[in-house]
Amino acid sequence: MTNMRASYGKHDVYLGIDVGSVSTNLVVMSGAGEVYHKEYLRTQGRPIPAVQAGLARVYQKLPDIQIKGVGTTGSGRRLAAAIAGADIVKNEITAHAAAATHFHPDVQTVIEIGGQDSKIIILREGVVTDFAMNTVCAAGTGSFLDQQAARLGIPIAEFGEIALQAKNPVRIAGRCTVFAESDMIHKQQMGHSVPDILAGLCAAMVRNYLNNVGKGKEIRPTVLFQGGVAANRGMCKALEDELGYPIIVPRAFDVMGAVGAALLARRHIEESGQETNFRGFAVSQARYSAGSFECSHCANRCEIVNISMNGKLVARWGSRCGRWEQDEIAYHSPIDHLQELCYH
Amino acid sequence: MGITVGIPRALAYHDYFPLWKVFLSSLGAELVVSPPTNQAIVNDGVRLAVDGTCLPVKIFYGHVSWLSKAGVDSIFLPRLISVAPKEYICPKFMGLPDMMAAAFPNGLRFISPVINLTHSSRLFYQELEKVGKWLGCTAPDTRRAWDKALAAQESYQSFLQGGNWPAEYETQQDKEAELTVSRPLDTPSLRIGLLGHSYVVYDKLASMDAVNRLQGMGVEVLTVDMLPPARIEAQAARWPKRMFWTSGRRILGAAWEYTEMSVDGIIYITAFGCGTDSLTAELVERTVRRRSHIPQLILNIDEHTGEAGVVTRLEAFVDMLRWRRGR
Repeated sequence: MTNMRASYGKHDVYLGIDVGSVSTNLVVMSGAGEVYHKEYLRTQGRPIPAVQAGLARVYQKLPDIQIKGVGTTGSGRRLAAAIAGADIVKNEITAHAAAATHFHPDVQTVIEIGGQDSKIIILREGVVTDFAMNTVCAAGTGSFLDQQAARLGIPIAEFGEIALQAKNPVRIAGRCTVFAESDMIHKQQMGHSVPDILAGLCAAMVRNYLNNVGKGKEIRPTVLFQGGVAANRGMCKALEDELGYPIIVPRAFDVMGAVGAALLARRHIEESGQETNFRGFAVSQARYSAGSFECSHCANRCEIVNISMNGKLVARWGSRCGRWEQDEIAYHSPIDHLQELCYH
Repeated sequence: MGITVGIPRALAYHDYFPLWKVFLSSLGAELVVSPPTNQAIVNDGVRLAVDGTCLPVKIFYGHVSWLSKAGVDSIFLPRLISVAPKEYICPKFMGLPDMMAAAFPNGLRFISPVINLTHSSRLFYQELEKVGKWLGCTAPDTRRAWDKALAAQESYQSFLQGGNWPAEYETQQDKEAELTVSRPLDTPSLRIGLLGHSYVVYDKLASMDAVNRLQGMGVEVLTVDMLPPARIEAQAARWPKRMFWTSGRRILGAAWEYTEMSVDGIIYITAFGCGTDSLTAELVERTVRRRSHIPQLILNIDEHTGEAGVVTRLEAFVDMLRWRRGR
């Protein structure tokens, strides 16, 4: 009779976890699809403690919530799923697209720039029709902006505001961060102002993004700009200048991956009627350890990773042949009805 | 006991192994083929290779190193320049015998007939006869061995055109060969056309097992070799300017054929730094977009072992195709 319930209990919620290279984000969403709470943490190279700390914070602030489902995404999605216990594990493209259409059903382009990768997602009538991610080069992502802000002694949070004060943005080579940096230093020694240099850098990053990631893609409004870099107003302005029309930065721009994961988890639970695999907030206090060994069965010498909780093995992966793989969660879940989810 | 001849399981091997194996064994050589690429072979190759080569060439170094450690007398390494009239292949193939001679200076002998079909067939047979002579065979014996080898090669190519994989052909021939492609039991719900050089697509390690991953997601995977050569040729001939790289020409023709077959998606797997692909991939991307709405994914591979990037792209691509289908 569960589907007869007219409304979800106020505290029945879905949890989305996005473990990226730079940040680990957790989002608590109501059954009705509103962002109830969000946590943005720096991963700092240690994803397991980051997920645990995020869970602890959520529990501290919302002790009464009842988690109905958990979704994970990001490059650390499998690890996050092993720690928290997940119902669905999804790639970042699908998660970002799900979140974008949830808030803006008319979205046609999603520009996402994160810490170490950037992507473009093209949607038509609520369906992903094309996407691209940056290839081997990380030029034009958040890490480089971070690094340049640090070099100039500017807090990253003020970067955008300073760039907006530019009067004559300088021209900076954006193809490669090594060249961009030497160009910036050259301009600074010539006497150009910091705002002009920062605005020039934003413009260079946008050009690089559109030429590489956005190459050949039909960018049409409504354009959503999401990912951590969307906080940088200098980047927003540079994008708008280049595209020639306004773009939208959604309210939850920095946690859209986690939002998508939570939405996909909700869909999965509602469709399957299953109980969640969530291990409970107690896992934030559990002792997790990740160990690895080199398998000597063949010449591939795969690096096998063991994840254990309080000394008990909970997941293991890394073998090419599959001999060691142990995942408690379903890795490939169907999303056949995703578009309905987006219009709920 | 004949002379042991080593064959590296890399680069042109994937296209021509039945030809080479039958030819050399008919001439009385004892063949030793290196195993499918593993991490130790890659590591060895990366250590030995000259700067600036693509991953497949580095892998080739690793296979030759494996064979040299296995104690073969010689290595079969034809100097491939042109395998079809008025067409060429990647210039690195031409330089391979020199690269290997420089990397393995001690005692390893390379049998390197020059294969250049833009020259006369008389010169071509002279090159083959040199190989035969070295293995102690007469010119007529060599011709007979070659005819036999050609027949084997034809049967291999028609086997692939039947929708099969090279590893399956090898298993048929040799029970000990590792079967690297397992077929899913379910009927696939999506069909993806794969593009790329055979030595990338068929090398499980280089391609990060893209074929198996796709099949595991319920996808039917097609390769260039599964398409009828006449169709590929006809499609490639529609190109306004002649594409003079053999594999580039086949890839372009196949891309056009895939668009006419209305596959659900096209994935181009390319090695980072590949010179010919830098043009071919660009041409494919543009023409497919101009002629159809079929989604495309270009997968760049290099020597990194982190699989997350490849897995994310493949999963997202398949999700998208399902999503489009469901609309």
